[in-house]
Amino acid sequence: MSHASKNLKGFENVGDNTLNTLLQDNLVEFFDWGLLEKGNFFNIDIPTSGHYGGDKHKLRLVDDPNYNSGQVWEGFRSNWVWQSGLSYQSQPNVIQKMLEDTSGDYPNQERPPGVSGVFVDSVFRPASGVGPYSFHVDYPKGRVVFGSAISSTSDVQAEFSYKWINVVRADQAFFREIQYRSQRADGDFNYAASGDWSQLAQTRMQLPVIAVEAVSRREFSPFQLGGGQYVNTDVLFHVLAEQEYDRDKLLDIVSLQNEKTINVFDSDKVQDWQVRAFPLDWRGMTRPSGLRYPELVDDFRSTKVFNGDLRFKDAAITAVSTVNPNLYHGVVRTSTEVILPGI
Amino acid sequence: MAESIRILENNKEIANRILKAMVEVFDPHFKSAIPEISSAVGDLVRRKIASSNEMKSLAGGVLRFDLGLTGSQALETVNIFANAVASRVHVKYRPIKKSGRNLKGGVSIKIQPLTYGNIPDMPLPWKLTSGKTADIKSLLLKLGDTLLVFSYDIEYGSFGRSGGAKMTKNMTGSWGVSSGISRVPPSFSGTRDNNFITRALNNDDFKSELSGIIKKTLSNK
Repeated sequence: MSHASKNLKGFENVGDNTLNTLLQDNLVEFFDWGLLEKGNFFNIDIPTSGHYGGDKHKLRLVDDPNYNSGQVWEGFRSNWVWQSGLSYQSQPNVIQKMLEDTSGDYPNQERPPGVSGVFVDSVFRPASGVGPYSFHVDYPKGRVVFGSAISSTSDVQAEFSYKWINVVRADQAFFREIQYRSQRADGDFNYAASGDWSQLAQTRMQLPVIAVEAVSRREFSPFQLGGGQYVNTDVLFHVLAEQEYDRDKLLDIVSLQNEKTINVFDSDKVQDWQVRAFPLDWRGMTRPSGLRYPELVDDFRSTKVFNGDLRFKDAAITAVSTVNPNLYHGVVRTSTEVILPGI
Repeated sequence: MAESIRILENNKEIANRILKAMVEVFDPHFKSAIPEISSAVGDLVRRKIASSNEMKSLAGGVLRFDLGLTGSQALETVNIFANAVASRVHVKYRPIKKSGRNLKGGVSIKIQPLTYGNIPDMPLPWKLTSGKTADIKSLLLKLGDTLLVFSYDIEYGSFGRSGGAKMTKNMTGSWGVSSGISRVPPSFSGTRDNNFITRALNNDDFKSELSGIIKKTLSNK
């Protein structure tokens, strides 16, 4: 006798990720990877001077209470590129690539090498090194963290790449950041010695940014006789930029994905695979066995949604505003359609 | 004994006579049903608007506190929206005529022009950061997901003019995602083409009920 009438449907385990999480995880990863493939990175070589002075290749000492003084050094931008092996015409400076190249094709096997270490007082320190100058890279925060403190007067230099457009979840921290920036019309956003830099990297968002928010309204319609439903969920892509031109460009980029179908991965499957495929570890450092978005989609395609497909539809720009003369906000609202076969 | 019938008219003449007879029956039948259809559709529209998620939240949920309305103001606002949209139900009768080998004409129903000129602004006693006075019509039908107010948190509790929340000056606090005062909550927000009115009326459920009203009214005449 079937117990189906007594069971909840649509998920297997309360510990599993459900649709909202799947949507946000995948949309962030899809846009992050997709933008990289269209050149969303700047390479910082040694030397690289800033347009308004300063040296972009020099890392500055960070006063982080979680570490000893002299351990943590950060670049002028956070969100460093960790993905190597793009199809773009140039490759990012990735300090330590994740997997070795094989003879296969782009994108899942080919990973051209990046740079392999940093310079401390003009002495090259390889990422594979041991001893007092061993370090790991915290890519999201744009930092090099040494195993033990080095002299705070050291000259630390690195070749790295940073992502120009940051793609994040629109959580409370994101909205708090808009609130904070809405109070600051004096333009001290970007450069060292300004107010923003007194914040730690994890609480400081650099612009422009695309923030993904799933809307808590959902529509269902029948898929086929015997079961399954189309599930439509609106998603907001908030765009925040310091230039009106950049804001408008990003609104265009996002809205042009209307009617595109993408494949989605299931982060529960990735986790079941002993977490080895997650690209970054708890420190923000790449895992040797970590996978990038196209590999995650190929190897861990979601079976929770039919065909592992997600379709964007009904995209519209639903907000365009100037928060202050240095901050421009806009929203693309798009509906996402998936088919859940099990409901 | 055998009888025979001889039909004098050809098929075309017979078809024409049938069509003309149908016009004589249908035309007054449809015409007389228009006031009843109009009234029933108006009632349906009023009910659909008033029972939309947005209006339910305005009447008895968090959206009332977000906008800062008293209970009676909120109910009045719901009535204004529902009645305004219902009053713009326009059922037009197009006389039924014979056209070639067919009949044409019937009933067309127009409900709400996208200019929303029939709906009053309903200003609120607070201003947007832009300096403009907030009004309920713009908040729900025009401004979409725009950020509206900075520097304030919304604090829920038994205070404020709504009796459920107040705005608190706050330069660095959290705000926005659930509060809805800094923006209309995204599940309720709307633009000219996609808002609580279009969502309430442009769906299969509404169309099915509309179709049912027309069929029932014509059948009962």
